[in-house]
Amino acid sequence: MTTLGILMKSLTFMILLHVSFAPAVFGYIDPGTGSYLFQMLMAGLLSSLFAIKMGWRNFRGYLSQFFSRSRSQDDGHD
Amino acid sequence: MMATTNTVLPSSFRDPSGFLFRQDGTLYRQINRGYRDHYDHLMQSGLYRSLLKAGLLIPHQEVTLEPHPSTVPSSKDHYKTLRPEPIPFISYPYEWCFSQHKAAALATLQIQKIALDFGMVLKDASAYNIQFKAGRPILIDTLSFETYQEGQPWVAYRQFCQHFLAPLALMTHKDIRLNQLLRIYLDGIPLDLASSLLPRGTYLHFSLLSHVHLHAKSQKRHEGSTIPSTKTRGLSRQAFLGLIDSLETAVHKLHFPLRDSTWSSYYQENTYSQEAMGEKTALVGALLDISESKGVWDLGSNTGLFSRQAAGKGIPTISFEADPTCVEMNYRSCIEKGETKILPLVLDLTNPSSSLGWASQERLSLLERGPADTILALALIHHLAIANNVPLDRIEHFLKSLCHSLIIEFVPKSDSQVQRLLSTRTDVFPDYTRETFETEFQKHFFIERVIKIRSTERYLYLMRTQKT
Repeated sequence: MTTLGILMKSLTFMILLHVSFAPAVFGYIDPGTGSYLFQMLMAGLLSSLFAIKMGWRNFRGYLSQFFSRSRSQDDGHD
Repeated sequence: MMATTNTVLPSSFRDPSGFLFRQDGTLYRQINRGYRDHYDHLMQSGLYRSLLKAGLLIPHQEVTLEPHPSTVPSSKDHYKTLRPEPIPFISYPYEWCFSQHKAAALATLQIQKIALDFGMVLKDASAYNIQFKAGRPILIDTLSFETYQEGQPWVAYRQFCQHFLAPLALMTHKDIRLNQLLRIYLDGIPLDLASSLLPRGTYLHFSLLSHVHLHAKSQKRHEGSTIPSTKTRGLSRQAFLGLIDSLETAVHKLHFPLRDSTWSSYYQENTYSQEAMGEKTALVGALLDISESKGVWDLGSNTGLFSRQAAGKGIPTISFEADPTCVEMNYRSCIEKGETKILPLVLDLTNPSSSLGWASQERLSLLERGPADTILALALIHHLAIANNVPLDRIEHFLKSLCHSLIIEFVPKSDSQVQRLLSTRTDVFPDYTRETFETEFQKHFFIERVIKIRSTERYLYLMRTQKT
């Protein structure tokens, strides 16, 4: 399993601990409230994951640009 | 039948931003004054143009027309009237195959991402707002956008999960037929139900764990409570983008692997010789030419062999089939080949889509979306008459209300396919003969052509409904 995989599993476990044993509440159903608040709960995590993903994408883009530039320079010397 | 009178569409009443109405046979959308700022933002920010360029939003024209007083008694709220480009055939999520549903979900998220670049959000994410036009999913509700305010959560999050993510997850991880739950739950599959139906293993998928299982638990936990005012502004733009990206990843990860179903190998396993199949194909093509059809509904289309023949002649074709695997194969073929004239849909003819929703008028039945110009009913009648015990007169009665012309194949009892159907049951079908078939169908149809398919005992008919 990759480091990222282990990290994701750990995060999953932490969230499970936090929410999955929530007591069942019966009554008038307002599904919007739970969805609304769930977004708040997830906000920090989703924001961080998105930042990591974008950062990684930019880094890969920079690397591929860097190597393609140096390759084209090498080709120019031939 | 589609309403031609001046009327507000029965499905257009929930959103106070406006409504759809039909006047003199044309469909219009009224925008109410309350939606003015949002609509102006959509048009002036460049979002409308951008979505049109991406083929993701239905084009419209602004027209100087107000609903006739007989259509809407009081129209004081009127701001503008739009004439949207018509959609030839309205389909519903419970008629889509897996990949159509997935394409519709990804289109919705793509629209949301583009909208955010222009300072707008989708205020709803209903699967019914997406239709298939020339094979591609497109948003038909121009009033779905509202101006984005930094910090606001996505109000359509719950709806997106119920309309798209839950059905797709159930189709992937449980059973492809579970999208039929959408016929019962018109506002999407309740997340607690989806969560309880999904296998335990899906708790290990981060995206399903969060957006289905934990989301469902959060809904349960906060049932009946109101949103605390301190938490009403708390989702940063970055988190909003993260939410959309996470949902997109979740949808991308869901796949439906094609497995053989009862019908998916029909063309390879039926008793037609290659020669007979070639003959049948040529004859169907010739009858389509004679019929001069403007639109075809291919009933029991399997993977769409004969639908392609009609579409190849430039005829818009709806390809109906009960087996979701066949429809999936058909749709994937359309995407691979770039076919824009075929719309494959899941439909069980013995229980076709009925009128659903408020006052049984929100979602149209199959009959209300007809009639088709031409119906193809090839290798179908024995399944209806013998496998499903539907008498010939009832089949005739149903088909005459559904089309103007009919290309139908009669499969006699002596045919090996019919023999196979009869092998495990008593033959209680003494009237299932070609003579009775012709007698029954001539009650409302003219038989224009009858052709025997060589090397078989089957006959092809071209019939037209009698004008009364």
